[in-house]
Amino acid sequence: MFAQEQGSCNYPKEITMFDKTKKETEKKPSAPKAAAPAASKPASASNSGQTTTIGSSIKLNGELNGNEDLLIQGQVEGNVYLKEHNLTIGEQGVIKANAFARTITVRGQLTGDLNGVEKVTITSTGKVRGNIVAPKVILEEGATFKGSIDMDAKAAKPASQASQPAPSAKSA
Amino acid sequence: MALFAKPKNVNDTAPAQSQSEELGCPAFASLVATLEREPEHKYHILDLAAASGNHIEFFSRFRCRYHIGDVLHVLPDLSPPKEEEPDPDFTRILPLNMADKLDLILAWDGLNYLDKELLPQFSRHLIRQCNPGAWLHAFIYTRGDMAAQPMQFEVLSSDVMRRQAASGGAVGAPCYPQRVLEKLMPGFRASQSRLLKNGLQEYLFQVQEY
Repeated sequence: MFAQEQGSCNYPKEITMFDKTKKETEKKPSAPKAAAPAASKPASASNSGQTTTIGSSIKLNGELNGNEDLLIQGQVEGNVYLKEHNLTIGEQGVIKANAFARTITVRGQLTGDLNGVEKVTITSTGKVRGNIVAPKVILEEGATFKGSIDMDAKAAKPASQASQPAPSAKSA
Repeated sequence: MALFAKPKNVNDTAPAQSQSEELGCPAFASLVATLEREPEHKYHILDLAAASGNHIEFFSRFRCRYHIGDVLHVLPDLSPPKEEEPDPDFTRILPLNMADKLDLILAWDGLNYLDKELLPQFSRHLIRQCNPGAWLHAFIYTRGDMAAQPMQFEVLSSDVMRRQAASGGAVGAPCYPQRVLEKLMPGFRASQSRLLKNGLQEYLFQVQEY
């Protein structure tokens, strides 16, 4: 329904800034490796438990390919790949990107297509314009969304639950 | 009965439609049963209302691509063009650029709010993107007034919905009879029509083979 927006790939410069925003709780000295772009290398869950933050003052153009959870509070244009990890667009985040992650939670603004392996959630403060592919999509009351949602009920829930709406449903 | 009254002038003194009300929807229930008969089929659904977690959750039981039209709030403000004015551009108001054609359109009570003169143009815009045999589900007021803005509908189960008025005030409902409605929506034929106890007529239209 909407055109996909692509960013330019000038990530080496930005990655330095990206790593500076790591939370202090992350002591691991090899942290930059986790955030470094590895477009051809598949992600693994080896660094699960870590969350990298892109702070609100950061502007990033390019392709992000990570191996840990990511919180974006800044501005990102491009594509984000976190195949086995969780992506959160914070309330201050403004994203023009296509995103692929295990779960995607949007609290800020996003223009682009979202592909969630397990789930995509748009919270009450989230504004999304684009298309979503995920087995489960949650729109909280107050969420703004324009686009389309590709759902596959078989992947979302067992057949025994298919005749009743899930009690966790939230209306916008 | 305000037959064919234009739903334009808001009457603040008129009693507003009930703020929240549950209603049966047998035609919708039969539609859901029909969709459930082909669990492997991937349906393409257009919801003319704003994005609703309730609607999305309900239809997540099907393999489907669910398109959010978010156009209902615009319809009451559209008026037929005066001399030398261009027609409203529905390709811009409701862009339907999806690759696949639609199997179902959820209009809720939105058709009541579109000017009678614009209904044929709007339905032609929709039908261009529909598969033959596609359904359009709608509620049409048959008497008196209706809320000044389209109501929000929540699907409680396949045969019960809850409608809720967004704001106060009421306007005269156009109260289209079925034959008039079918004339105003060329290409759509009412396959089911049920008068509900609250005066709403529930319609399940189908796109005629073409």
